[in-house]
Amino acid sequence: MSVDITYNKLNKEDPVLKLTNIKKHFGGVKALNGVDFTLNKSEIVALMGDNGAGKSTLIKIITGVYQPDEGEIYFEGKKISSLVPKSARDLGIETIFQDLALFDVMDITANLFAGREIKRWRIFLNQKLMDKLALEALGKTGITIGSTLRQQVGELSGGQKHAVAISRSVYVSGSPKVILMDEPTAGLGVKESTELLKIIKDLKKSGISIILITHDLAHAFEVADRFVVLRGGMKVGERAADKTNSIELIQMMVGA
Amino acid sequence: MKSITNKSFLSKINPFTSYSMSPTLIIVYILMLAIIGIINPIFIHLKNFQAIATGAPLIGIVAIGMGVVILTGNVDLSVGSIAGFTGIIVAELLFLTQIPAIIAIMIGILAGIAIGAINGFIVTFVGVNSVVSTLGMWFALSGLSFTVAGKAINFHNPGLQKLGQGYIFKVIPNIFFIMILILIIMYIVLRFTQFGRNIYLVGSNGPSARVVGINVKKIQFLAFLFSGGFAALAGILLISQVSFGSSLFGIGWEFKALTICVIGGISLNGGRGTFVGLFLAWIILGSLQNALTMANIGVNWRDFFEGTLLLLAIIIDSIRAGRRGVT
Repeated sequence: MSVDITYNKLNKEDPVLKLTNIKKHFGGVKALNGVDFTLNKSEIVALMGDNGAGKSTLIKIITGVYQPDEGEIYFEGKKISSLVPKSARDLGIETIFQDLALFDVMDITANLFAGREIKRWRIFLNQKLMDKLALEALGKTGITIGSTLRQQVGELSGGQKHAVAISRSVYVSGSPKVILMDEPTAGLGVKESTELLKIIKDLKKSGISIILITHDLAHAFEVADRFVVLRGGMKVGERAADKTNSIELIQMMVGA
Repeated sequence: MKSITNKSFLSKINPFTSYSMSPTLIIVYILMLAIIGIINPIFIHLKNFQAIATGAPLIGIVAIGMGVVILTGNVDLSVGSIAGFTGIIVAELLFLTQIPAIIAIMIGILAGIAIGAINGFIVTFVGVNSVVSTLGMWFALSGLSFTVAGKAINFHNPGLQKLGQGYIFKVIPNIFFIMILILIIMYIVLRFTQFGRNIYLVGSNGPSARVVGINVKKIQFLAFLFSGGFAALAGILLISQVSFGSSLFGIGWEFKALTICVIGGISLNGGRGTFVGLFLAWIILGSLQNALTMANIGVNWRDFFEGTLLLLAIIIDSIRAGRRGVT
């Protein structure tokens, strides 16, 4: 099981994110068994692996939803102990989960500002300001939401929901440093996928690092700089995007 | 930004298609006033409204507390026994000692909050389903009430009497005023503060709330403090109306409060409904009870009627949730 790291080390700074020897088990199941993971600035890494390989667990550890049983997490060179969702967000780690983690019965503005509402006099919500910023944020994604901000998010289309989720993570959050996307193009049509991939490339240009989990190899090759492959809770391969192909990646994923 | 929904008037008052229950409830109340008013004109008389405003606010206060818990996705079926139990404590205190009424009230409310804290602890920390655990609490507290107060506990406290039986401006019962005050404060909290927003977020999608950094357990725990505290307040106001405490007080209150909440549009799935709807539902149910009493319909038939209403409300709530596709 050779680990072949062949990407160009362009920046000598600390990587944005570095995880060493991460272990996590649930009962008797070893979800992650000693995984190292690095993410550099302005880099897009595609995290690959079959179902049950440990991708979601690794993502949840990076975003603080789970705490690792063993191993260390470094953010911009500094060791982080006990990461929780709030502190992950404060650091600038944003996530767009596969189910988008939206609130279907609440309106667009409420979704965009969920967990970090803008307040007046420290307790009262500043609805007007939030609505104004919401419109601006949505505009930047380029995907139009034809209705009012009072629309329930559950009634939007798949692409529009993604626009809301991305707006929340990217534009409303301030300046994110790392964005994790779990199956971003799943369920999207051709046009919407293309728009989404363009947004991902734009994000990279503005200095944001992205971890992408996807089963769609074609989409991954369109945007990723590097591939990391997990299998059975371990990292079984790492390749620069221009030094590998679908067949090799699939072989690593299934263990052929 | 104003809502420019294209929904027609009919779809807004249809409980199955409208977002809020309030339009439906307003129509229902108007119909009620019209129909019952024709059958029994006393129904629309000021004195009758006064009667409703004297008898019904207590359950309204309990419903407000329960509403907070339901919004977070749980339920508190122990509120009736909390009301009865804290009423007994305060009655006993006033019977045995000469402490000022205000102190006794504070002790009673603190007791209610403490019981709410136990409920909250069991549900959020231990992880027991709230229906089961609050039912257990109801059972335990009822038993405790009966052992502490074998018979009615009479006390004499003019201060408390004035509170429970007095009027503002000679027409508005004190307890009605208290209920409206609490209603307005809680409405403001829920609609305009971050805490209130968190309650809705937690109730509408707990896992998502966790993801965006909200302490879901803390919010759910705090909700129980509201239901316990308000139930205690209601229990204390009840004993102040009649100057005695009894272990029979508060029985059945949880179901009445639940009916008010669900009919008011506060969905059992959590995260949906406002206290405007709760208020309208309170008016409707209070008026209904008043009308049934005037028609000399016995207590048991009334219970049957209200129980059926509760079932109906739950069914409508379920259909509404299904149509929206619950997260």
